[in-house]
Amino acid sequence: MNEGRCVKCGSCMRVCPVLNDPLGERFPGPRTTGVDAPRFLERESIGRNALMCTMCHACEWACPSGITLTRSMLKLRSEMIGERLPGHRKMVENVSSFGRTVSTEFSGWVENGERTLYFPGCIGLGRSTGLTLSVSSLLTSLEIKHDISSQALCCGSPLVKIGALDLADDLRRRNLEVFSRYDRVITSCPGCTYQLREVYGIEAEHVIEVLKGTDLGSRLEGRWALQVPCHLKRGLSPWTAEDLASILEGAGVSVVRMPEEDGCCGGGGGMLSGFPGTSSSIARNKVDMYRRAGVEGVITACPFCSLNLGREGMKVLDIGEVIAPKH
Amino acid sequence: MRTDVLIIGGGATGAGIARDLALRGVNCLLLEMGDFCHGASGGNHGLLHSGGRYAVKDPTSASECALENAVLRSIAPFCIEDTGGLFVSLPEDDPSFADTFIGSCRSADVPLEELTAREALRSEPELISSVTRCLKVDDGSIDPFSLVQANVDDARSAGARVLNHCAVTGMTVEKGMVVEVKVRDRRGGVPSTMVPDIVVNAAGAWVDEVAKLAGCRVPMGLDQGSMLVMDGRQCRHVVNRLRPPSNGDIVVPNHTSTVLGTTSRPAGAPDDVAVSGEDVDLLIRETAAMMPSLRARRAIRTYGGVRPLLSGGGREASRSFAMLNDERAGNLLSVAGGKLTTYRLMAEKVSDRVCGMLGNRSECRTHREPLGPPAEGKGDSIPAARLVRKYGSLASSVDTTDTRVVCSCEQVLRSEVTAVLKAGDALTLADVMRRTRAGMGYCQGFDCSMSVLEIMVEQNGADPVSSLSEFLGERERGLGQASGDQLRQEMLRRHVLIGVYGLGDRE
Amino acid sequence: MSHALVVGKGAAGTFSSWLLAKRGWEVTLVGRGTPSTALSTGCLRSVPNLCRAAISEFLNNESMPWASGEREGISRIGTSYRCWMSPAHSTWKQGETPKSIAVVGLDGHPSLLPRVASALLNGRKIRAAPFTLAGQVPSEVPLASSFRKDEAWEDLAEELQKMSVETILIPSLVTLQDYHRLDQLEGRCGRDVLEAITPLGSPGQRLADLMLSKAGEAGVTIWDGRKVTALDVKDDVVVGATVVGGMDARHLSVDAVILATGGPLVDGLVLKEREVSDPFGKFRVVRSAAPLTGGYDSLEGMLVNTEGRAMVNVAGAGDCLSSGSREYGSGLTEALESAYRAVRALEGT
Repeated sequence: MNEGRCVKCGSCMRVCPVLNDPLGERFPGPRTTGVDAPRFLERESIGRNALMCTMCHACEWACPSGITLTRSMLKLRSEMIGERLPGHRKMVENVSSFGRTVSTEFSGWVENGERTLYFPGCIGLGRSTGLTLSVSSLLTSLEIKHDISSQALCCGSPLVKIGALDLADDLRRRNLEVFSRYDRVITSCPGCTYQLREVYGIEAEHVIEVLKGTDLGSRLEGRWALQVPCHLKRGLSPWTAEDLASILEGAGVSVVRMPEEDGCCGGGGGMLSGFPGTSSSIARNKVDMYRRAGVEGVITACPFCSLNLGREGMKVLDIGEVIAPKH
Repeated sequence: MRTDVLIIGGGATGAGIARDLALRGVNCLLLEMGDFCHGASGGNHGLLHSGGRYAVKDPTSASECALENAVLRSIAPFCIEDTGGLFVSLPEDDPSFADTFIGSCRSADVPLEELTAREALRSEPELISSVTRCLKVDDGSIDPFSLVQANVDDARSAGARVLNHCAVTGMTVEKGMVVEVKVRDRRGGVPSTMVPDIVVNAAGAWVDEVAKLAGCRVPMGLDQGSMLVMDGRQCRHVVNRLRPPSNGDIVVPNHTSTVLGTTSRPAGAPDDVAVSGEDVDLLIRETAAMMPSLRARRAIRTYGGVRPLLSGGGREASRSFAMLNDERAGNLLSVAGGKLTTYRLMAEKVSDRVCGMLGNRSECRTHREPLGPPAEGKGDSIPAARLVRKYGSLASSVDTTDTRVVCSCEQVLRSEVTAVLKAGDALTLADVMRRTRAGMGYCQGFDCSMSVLEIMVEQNGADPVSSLSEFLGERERGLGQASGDQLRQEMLRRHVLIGVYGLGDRE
Repeated sequence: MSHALVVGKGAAGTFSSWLLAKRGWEVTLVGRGTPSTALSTGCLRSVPNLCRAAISEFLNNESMPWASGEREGISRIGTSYRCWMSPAHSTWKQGETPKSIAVVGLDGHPSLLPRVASALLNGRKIRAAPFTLAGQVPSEVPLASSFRKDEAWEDLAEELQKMSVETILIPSLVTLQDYHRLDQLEGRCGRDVLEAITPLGSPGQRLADLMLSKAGEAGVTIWDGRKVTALDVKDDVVVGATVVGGMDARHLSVDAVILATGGPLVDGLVLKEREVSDPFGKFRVVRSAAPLTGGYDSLEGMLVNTEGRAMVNVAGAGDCLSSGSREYGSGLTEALESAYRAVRALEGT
């Protein structure tokens, strides 16, 4: 932990999407939760508003001292005591009873004993099953035979975000058993990818990494903007933003770039379930920005981004739904 | 203005005496030339001694510490952190000292318990793994500003008058008695002459300076000690070196920082508090021998204090105190020596003597009457959870419905600043800082001092220019040795204060 | 086309990469973290004659007009700030001091301290009075976020119209794109609107954003959030660099390098105790000077390796260079000038 490096420049506070949202005023901010609060004996009293962070890593990117703010904030979350927020309680209940954060709507399981596992994640198996089906058929058309295993449970990332470390650890152990049967794991959610790489130590690949360099086409018309997911660009690799753009441009999609394309959608870090009002306010701001740019819609590579921006009336497509191999 | 007893000096001793006398119904007035804790009370290690440190060489002191430690925990729990203390010996230390230590503590009634090396490392993970022996004692950390202010507030409720920023400038002695004391008040409004029956000179390191005003001398052996403040709580307990008392023996976690101490050298004057680069190197070297991770931590500032020891002082001097009375000024009672942990006992003995001189037969109550509530440590925000720790019984005067924080490092509410200003003792930025802790964190006021100044101008009509330059000068003292990340902080401070605002000298 | 790597995305890095791109180089600009430029006041204390025209062209943009000459402004605490070039609303022409100023701040927000500032202004014989706008914004919240919507500006204009002064000093709260709102505000409330000179706030960030976008427009490839962790040096020539970002790393072949990594404040130079050193371990650092003035040694603009020989293709610019004349407050000007020199040194002119 390197919070001792802070020189109070305030850069992290200025880039925080929550603090920059009118409904995010109550959030103490990345510096307070990541640097200041951990120094107090009384830090547990910081209160639930300390959870109003989407884990977008913008603060870490901005910090001139290179402080690992996200890690520090997660540590504080794990130390917080007391009642969980209602949305987070529900999440924990769901995971405890059936191993996923939201109810599973998906039914197209594939348990053929292939060497590759496609791991769609809870949202992909719950609310965004269309995304999962598109990615699956895309992989198939690229001749990547894969299982979609019903035994693979939540990656645990949302549980870590709300401080439920033991539960997350339990999921990890159970998932590792399932993963041990495969040579390759492909994900469509950057949150899952980050968790699998960082915490599980598995070389999981995100769909974008799989698609890079393949010959692809698209039937999409009109001008489209990008929602570059936080956990892709600021989690896995900054080069993924360029990769996303070049995959689409290479497939003939007319992509409009803009500086705020990598701003948080408001859906991560447990915000979606914990602080739905602020989460949708952040999403709305982004959608307003895209509307002002006059684009047809937005292309992303994350089920949370799809979900959160889609709810504010913007047309959002996942990359898996937009491209296919050229015949 | 008349008063039965005039107490000069608003440190722990003076404030303790004012409280004691006031509780005994004695009419008294306390004057402090700066802010309370101006001297040693504001420049010590913040350590609530178990007595262990003195057990071998000074068993009387040790017993007193042990007893007073328990008394303070019972009357002023709010300003004490019950960290517990460890005395640890390393392979290079004399192995027999531990047994000597244990024997002396037992004779002096200093409670202690031996831990195995494994237990020691489990309860204090930052300890070096080569720890050989470990003894657990009742050390704690204490907030002297909070403690002294509580004494002052309690004295006032019992009828005493207490004024800070009020200096004694002269005394008139007639027929071997002090008949008149001249006073200069920084605020105005207080008459410049006092007529006391008895003068108690509790001016700490300034005792001789004050005595001189009455034609008396008190030969002092002033001794300076240096402290280094590290950011964050780097250990759970107070950690002491188990060897004959030496420099750099003690590490004290307190509030949001860890204080390393201390050193000893003769002081040339009561305000000769300067800390040298060698002191800093020594403190890190010696304390890191017990806890190596300290080397990698951020040092925020240095500060020093002058110990008001009587002549023949230094490390060997007795930490007990003395009351001195000279026939040249029969009603002037000078008090020297002592330490923070036993301030109340010292005040009791002085008050007994004063009451004897006044013919007052009341008994001391200071060991029984509470100074404030126990600290809660929990609340619906970090600032709320800390109010009692800082303000004792006055915590309820802070409006917690306004959740705006003015100092982020120390999580201080704006309403704490307004409450402190309203209470009346805080005249300067530094006064506000001592009470609220705004500006004591790792940025050393970089972020909050201007905002606190704005509140002061709004509420008290303070003059920004003089307030700010006084505050900046004072902070500058402790930041001269800055290195590493604190130096980066200082560079940013200078970019802003000098480069943008044009305050202070260019390098 | 020769490929230049510029390390650091502050004033020195963006200006040198813009210059290089304009001169036909293929440029990759790699940077991470907020640069000192973004923490600055966004004003230039002076403009070096050497590259006056280039700087004007570099900073020229459609959103925010600049004012040049002997200018003066007021800091957020009320002290005087003199400079040569500033955003139009930050300063007035020296000598034309406003006769009466309303210092308008938000209750309890540190962006502008009305009472301290008014007291300091009055002390300098400038008639000023504090005004506090209603509404409490927590001090941790960046003020710009409360002023994104038109309604906030309309409310502000209404409040300001009530003031019977010539000039109104407000906190800095506009981004580059929204700068026109200050003109609109002036029009609406019929007063001169002055933006307080503020370090660590929107003006610095505005300038940094502007400089970065100009570099991008000139064709510079910008690799944000990435850090150069190693340089491949063969004799006195740098041939490649390792760039790390997130969990990924890439390797670049380069023909020339400009290090514009900044001073110890932004970890451009490593500060151990009180001495600075080179994070790459390849170049000589002048250590005898204080941390502010210490930095890379250079010979006619080129960095010097640890054995004392000038590098063939590595120049330095900005705070990471040693400079005996550097003072607190002059960093931006020096950064731009040294960037210009660095480009000339690389091109051998």
